[in-house]
Amino acid sequence: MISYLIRRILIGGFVALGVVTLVFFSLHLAPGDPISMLIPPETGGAATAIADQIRAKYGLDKPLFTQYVIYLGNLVRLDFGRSINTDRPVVTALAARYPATLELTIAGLIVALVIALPIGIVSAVRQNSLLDNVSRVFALAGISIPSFWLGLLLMLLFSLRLGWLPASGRGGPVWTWEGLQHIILPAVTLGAMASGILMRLTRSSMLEVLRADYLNTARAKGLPERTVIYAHALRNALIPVITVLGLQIGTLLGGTVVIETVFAWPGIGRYAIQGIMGKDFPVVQGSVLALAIGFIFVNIIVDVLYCAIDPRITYD
Amino acid sequence: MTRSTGPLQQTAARDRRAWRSIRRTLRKSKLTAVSIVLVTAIFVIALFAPQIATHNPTKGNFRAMLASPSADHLFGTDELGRDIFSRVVYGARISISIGLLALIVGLLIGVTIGLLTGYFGGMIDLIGMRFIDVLLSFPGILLAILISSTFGAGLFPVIFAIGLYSVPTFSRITRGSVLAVKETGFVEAARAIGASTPRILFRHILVNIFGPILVYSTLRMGSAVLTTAFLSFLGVGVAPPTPEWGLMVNTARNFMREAPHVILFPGMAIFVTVLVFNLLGDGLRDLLDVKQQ
Repeated sequence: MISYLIRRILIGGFVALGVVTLVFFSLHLAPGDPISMLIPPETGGAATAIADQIRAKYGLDKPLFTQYVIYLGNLVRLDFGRSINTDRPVVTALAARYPATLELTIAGLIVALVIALPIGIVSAVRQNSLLDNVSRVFALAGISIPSFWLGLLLMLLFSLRLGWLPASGRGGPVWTWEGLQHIILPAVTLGAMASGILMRLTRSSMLEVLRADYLNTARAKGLPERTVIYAHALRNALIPVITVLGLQIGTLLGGTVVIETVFAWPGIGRYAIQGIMGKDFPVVQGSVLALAIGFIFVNIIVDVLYCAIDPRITYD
Repeated sequence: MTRSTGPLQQTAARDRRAWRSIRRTLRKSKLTAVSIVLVTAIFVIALFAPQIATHNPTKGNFRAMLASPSADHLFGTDELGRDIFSRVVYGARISISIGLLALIVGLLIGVTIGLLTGYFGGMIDLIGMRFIDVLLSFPGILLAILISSTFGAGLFPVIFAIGLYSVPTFSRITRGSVLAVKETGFVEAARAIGASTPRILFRHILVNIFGPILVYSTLRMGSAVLTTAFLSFLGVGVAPPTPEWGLMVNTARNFMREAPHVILFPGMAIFVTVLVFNLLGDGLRDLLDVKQQ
């Protein structure tokens, strides 16, 4: 178990290094230098000297590979550099925004599970019933609907027309009334994205388990049907669901980029988009890394969680 | 006259049987049949956009801004007075072309990686699969956002970004199938009679994974259309004034309170297109009996 954990973390670290490398080099291949964007072209000769000075300050005058090594060294010390546009350290901005993104992701995940699990289970238990057919159509629609559009439609209905919920922003931490009101629409939009896939998977996984011999054994023992389904079948059916849950958290984290833009949610995704618009390398690098590494971390946790759910899985 | 059972007739009989079984499945699964019709319809709309559109999709009319749907403007007009119906019709052309080209990019890179890693194994497998792991560890569309923002808004970065986004799916399917097929008798036999490696890869292995590739291409087509819209909505995709659906929703969303139709129809177009491709992909999966991966 411990050796598996260490190996899993090592592989995670390797993948994280790959992500860092990919992000670094892809951004530096980008045409258009952020410094020349800061200085208006009509300022002429004097500006070139200033531009060089600024480039030297951010290390942009050094060869690319040297910049890469320096960047890696800084990352180890949790130094993500400074934003070129605001001159504030990126790591502070990330730390300030991570709770908002995390809160939204978890809320979205809860919404997705609350929709997907019960419907998926009932859908499987009553296969081919009207409820099953309706929920399958809904699952497919959930997979196909563009989340930014769903978000805008919800905002249009519940904020602009009915005035029940605030249209944008974060009202504070989720445990306050203001915070709760603000998170409902973004969380539902985000959760709808993931619920379709989870619902289909719960259903198909449950259908497979329901045919297993050990359920007949359980029934033959005289256990009530409720116990057979919820204690015996569900626990086995959830294993593939949890695998996909790990991947779905990645989808949710990526989805926050869009949802945060729609609802002006002050998280990392919106920060990344602002960085992209402003050609602010350190901001884009920092926020993409923060999201990707969060995702790698989640997947390690999910892998380890298996053993809690399925004692048959060993880590050799 | 005796019944001839030559190889040609046998093949013909097998083809007939195959078609009969496809027809039977289609009759049983009406949804798949409907989705084939709808996908065809979307391709027809994309192909004949100039004939179907009622107005110039990029020409504004300042006397008819944010007009509600009417006989002249079926879907109303946007904030610059452009006809939304015509823009949605032309948008099919943009989305379908980007989707198809991205699919080709994803297939070329993904299948190549899958073939090489699966067939040769060893070091190539290790490096290839770690590369796929890195691609997969980018949450959702972040990778596409990164590439698009690197090369600026435009068609080719978007196509490449979305194509790359499908690479893990295709390389994993291909690699898995290669591993399964590699040790079977017919590949062994081909090798024994001296077939070259490329010949084995293309003539003997690739034809065997046609089913899964077709199913996932259809499903990826839906997700490519969706990702295109995402990127354009975020402002890192296709540049204005191109009539791209995601871009239309983004530029019009400030006016949705007064004129909800400005976001309703372009969004509906994305939704329906993606839904139809997903329906077809699901149907094909059942039809060709491809296991879920």
